[in-house]
Amino acid sequence: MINSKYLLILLCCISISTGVAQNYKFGKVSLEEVNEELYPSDSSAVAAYLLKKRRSYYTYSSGSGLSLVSEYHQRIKIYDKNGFDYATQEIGLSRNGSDKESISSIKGMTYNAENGKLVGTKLEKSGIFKSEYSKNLNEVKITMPNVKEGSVLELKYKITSPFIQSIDEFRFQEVIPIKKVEASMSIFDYFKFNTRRKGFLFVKPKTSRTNNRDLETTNVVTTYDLSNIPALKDEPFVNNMDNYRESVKFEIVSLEIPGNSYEIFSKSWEDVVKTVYKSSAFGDELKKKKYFEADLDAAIQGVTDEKEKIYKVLAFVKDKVKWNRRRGVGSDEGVKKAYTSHTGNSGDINLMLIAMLQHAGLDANPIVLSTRDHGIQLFPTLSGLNYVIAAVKLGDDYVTLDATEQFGAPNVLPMRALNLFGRMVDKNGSSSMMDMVPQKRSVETSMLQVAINSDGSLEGSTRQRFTEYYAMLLRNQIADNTSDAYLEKMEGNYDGLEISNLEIGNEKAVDKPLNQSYEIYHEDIIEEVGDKLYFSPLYHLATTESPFKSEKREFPVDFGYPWEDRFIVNTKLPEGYKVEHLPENIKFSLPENMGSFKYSIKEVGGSLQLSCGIIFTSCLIAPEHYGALKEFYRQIIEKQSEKVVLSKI
Amino acid sequence: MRIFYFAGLLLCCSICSAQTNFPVSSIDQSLTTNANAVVRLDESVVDVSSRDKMVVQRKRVITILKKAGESSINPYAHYDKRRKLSDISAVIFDENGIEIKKIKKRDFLDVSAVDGGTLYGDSRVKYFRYTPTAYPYTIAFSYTYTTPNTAFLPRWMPVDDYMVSTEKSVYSMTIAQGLKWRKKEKNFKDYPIKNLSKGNTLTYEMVGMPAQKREMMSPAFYNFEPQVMVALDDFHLEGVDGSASDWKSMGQWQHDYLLVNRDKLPQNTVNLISDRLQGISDKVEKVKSVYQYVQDNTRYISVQLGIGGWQPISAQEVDEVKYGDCKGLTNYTKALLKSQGIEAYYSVVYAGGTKKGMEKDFACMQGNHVILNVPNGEEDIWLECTSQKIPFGFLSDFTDDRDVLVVTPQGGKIKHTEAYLNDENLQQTNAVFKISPEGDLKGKVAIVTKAIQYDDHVKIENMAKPKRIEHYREYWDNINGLVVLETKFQNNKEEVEFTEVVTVEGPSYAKKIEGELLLKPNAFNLMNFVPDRYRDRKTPFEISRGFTDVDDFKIEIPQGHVLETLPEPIKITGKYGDYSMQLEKINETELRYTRKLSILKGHYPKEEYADYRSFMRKIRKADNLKIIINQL
Repeated sequence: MINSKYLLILLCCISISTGVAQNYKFGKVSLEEVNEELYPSDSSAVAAYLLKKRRSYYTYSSGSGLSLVSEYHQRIKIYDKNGFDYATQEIGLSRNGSDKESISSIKGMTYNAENGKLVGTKLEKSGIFKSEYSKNLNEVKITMPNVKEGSVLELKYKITSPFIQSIDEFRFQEVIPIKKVEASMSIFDYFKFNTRRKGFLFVKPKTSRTNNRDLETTNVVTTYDLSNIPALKDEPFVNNMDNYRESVKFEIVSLEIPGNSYEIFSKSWEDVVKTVYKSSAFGDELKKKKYFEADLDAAIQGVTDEKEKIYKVLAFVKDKVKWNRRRGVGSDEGVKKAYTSHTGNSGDINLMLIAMLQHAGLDANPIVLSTRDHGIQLFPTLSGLNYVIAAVKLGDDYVTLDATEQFGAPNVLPMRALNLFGRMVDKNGSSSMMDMVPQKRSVETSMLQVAINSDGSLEGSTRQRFTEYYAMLLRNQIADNTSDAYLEKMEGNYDGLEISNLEIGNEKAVDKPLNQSYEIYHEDIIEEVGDKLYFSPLYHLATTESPFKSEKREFPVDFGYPWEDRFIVNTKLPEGYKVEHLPENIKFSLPENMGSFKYSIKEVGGSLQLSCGIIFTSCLIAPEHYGALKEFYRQIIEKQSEKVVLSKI
Repeated sequence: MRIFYFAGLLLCCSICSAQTNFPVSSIDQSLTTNANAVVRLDESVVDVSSRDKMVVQRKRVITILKKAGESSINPYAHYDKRRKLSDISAVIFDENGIEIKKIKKRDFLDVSAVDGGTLYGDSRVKYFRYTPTAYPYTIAFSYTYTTPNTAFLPRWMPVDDYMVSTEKSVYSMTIAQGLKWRKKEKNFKDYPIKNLSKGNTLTYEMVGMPAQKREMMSPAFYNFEPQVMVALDDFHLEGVDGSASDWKSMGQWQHDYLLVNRDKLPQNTVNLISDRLQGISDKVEKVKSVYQYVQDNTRYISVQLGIGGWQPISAQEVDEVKYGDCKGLTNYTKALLKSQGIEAYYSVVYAGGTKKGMEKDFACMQGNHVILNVPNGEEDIWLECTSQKIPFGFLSDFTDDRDVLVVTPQGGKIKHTEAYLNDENLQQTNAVFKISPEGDLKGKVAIVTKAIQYDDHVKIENMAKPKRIEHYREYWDNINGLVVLETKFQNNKEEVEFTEVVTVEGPSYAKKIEGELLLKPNAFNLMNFVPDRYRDRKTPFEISRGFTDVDDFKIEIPQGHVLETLPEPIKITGKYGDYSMQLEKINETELRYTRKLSILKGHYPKEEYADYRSFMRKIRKADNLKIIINQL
């Protein structure tokens, strides 16, 4: 688990101090709040929540049954014109047939200081816009009147929902700071629930019990009272910022109404997996085999080698059914229908894949997981799972497979599925944790054979080989573009380089590395100063810009997969010149052997032979090593830009 | 319904052609070269039966060869309260033209079509999604809509996009007898277009147009794609009738029907403004003060409903809620000025970084934005009323240098907004820096920018500190491991001038090789842009805004070192601009590097592209000049 590692560092950064007593009743905005010019602990904040309050609870009426009610109250301070966006709120209301969430009791006021006095402007109906966005979603947009720099906006509203099992996440952290959070969730005793907290602030709730007279039971009330929550700031190379936002999700795990049967939703991973397995869209679909048997048997006839069988089955599914870009653990419309209509969601496709692998005599099982954009799930959760892939046991190892991506291969999954870990589901319904971080390096090998012409231009040929994820990403690019557009994109990546005679090998054969070869010509890459020639012997392959530009970092750097770039460059020297200076050979590494760099160059009979490599054995780098990573890149760029000097004989 | 049927009969031959299933094998090879998609048939049949009734039948058949071609499917049918959709359906065919899927009316998704920048609107769209099982495949999509709005008649723009070829595009419009109409044809040259019009039925056809490649620096597609525009002299828009035959009458109608009486203000606001202007006698200063009031007190919120898409909300309403869209805020500013006896005009424009003007000689509803024109003697003051930050009278690249419609009580007229030309877009970079014996750089840089360059730089002021540092690391990516120690800014809105003062360090900026230091004197303003090479360029190219950079750096080299060979000054002149660079010795340890680069606005034929590239390459080479500093 990556979480615990950073716990201490982050805890130290956040000081939870107690603020000055403030009146948080609606309408009790003070002149001091309106006059405040900067957020005290973060002067870069363009706006802030002075209060973010939410109270959620259940009501029961004989007419409409159970409803989930959430009352919101926000007090927002606008410090700067760039914060005007916070004067508009967008609220989505779910809909499912005749069941829909509704909004009521909207009340808003804008407060400004005019001649040293507090003046309020009421939110009128004309500032509230309700619309039907789609079949499943209504939208309410509220924009506050008379907003200026300094304004304090108060807004209250209530949402009533018939979807009693789906409780919106309590978000305690936003991209602007929050001065005060007051939140409570009241769940009556018939519901068993779990709370899942994520983020780096480690807020702790208080729990109490109250009587529920409507249903003659007690309520369990969880409350949060927090102050001075810092803003959540975005960083590059983070797999999903939402993983780091302080928030709490309540998930109902079972419903136990006296006199009725007991219904389990999810409590432990075992429960979650059981629920998934039992659902008809999963377990039942996995058992269906008749629809493909004849076709598949023909396709894999005579194949005995297990590895080859895996390739054949994967290729068979990819060819038969295309992904409709929808995610799901289970099947959408049924594997059989997906098979005949040639399209399906991730559940349809990969459950079908698993059934086929099993039919082919392989030990295949599903791995259920949460995709990158869905967040890392640290606790047992049903709603947190949104994807399924296949795993085949080969000896002591597992091979992971996903047939949704045209150029995916065994152990090369789409990036969306690489989210630290997944749960493998056994046939008997038990489950185990699977590490989903790719182990094998994706390797680029580039070999250049070049000569420096007497006019200072460079000419030669390049052979490249890409494996694993590198190959998948490039195959996607090749397939998505016309060959001219692809070539011009390549030229665009290498400033000034002219490419011709491009040949691509194994374009479709995902079980083999992708090969590329082409001729290159570069007019301006050798520099002449006086009677000397200067050039970087890696030419256009040198990294010239660091991807890590920010000073420090809060969250881990995530490359997705380990990787290695190998460059071998052979340069024939021009007639009449001798080597005056060669860069020194060097090797250096990151701490804990997470990555390393090596560079060696020598002159052999009128040619320069350079070999240069970067390796990242770890694809997840903790923020505490960010300084080292930044320096590592700086040194790489430095070294790769170092010049060879040739002088006239 | 009868009229509609009649129109349908006239064109039944092309509608019937839908019976064939468009196998990919029947596409001429010239149309698949460089193409991501082939438009097999794009057909618009328009029937204008009265000033407030129009029926449009759309049919589009497209073969997708590559995934990148999917953006050209255009699977959307827009509608709203007045624009009614009927007969909507789509059919998918495989490579051989065999039907594989039918998308019926109820399978279409139906969502609000309000874009992200708009808070609320009543426009909606029906669309479909299809996941291809194999490429290529073909989609035939057709729908019909009926609308009372004839202020916008469908245009014919038969060339779809780059990398998309067209097998056949047909446009046919029948206008009822008695309705007066006008048309304009544009850019037909070089395109296989036939005009088959007869009487009151306009018919155009384009057959067999190969795909075009996108090329860097080519003019906006809009400026060279062929098109036909048609307009009625007497039209209808969202419950309002209109009449216009030229820009004067178009402006007159917009004034009389959309603007008049929407500029009333509450007396206390008028008093407030009068108080504010007390003691100011100069007209420009008055306008400036009113503009400042608008910037300080309002914000941009867009709501587009019915006629509200073209008519501003009243000044009174804006005064109450203190927000509005471009129309509302411009009209509000106009009203505030009017209350002080200053005449100002609502002006309709196409906004965007790519310059697009109103069609000077063809009056019809055009534009997507509104700005304010304040005549001041012979001069014009132009005001962008939706920004709270932009300097007074500055339009930026959003609305500069283009034809706009100025709406006055005496009718409309076309005026051209201010162009920011070459020298006006000035950037001056002054730097003093020191190189240590190890090659480390330490220095202070001051950058002053004006006009369009101001616009590019001023946003740095609002960046949070980490973003700002990142910005400089990108801006000076020639200095590996750049450290930004301090930044200071001054935003002089009065002069539209932005000043940045940045203190930086660049470890091992000069490369130490065997006792020598290899140094690029141009540390702070490298022109490394050379546009891509094309084996066979097809389009002309343009430099849409010129600029001038002036640089002056003082370089201190370490004691005990000497510059033995002083490089010769470099001068590069061409029709695209001028470059000069010079390095001088102030004394033994101080050098002065001066540089000037002017790039001129211009439009050039494709034949000159190679010459322009070589001009830019020479500049890149000169900018990357290195000197050797020897140890004594």
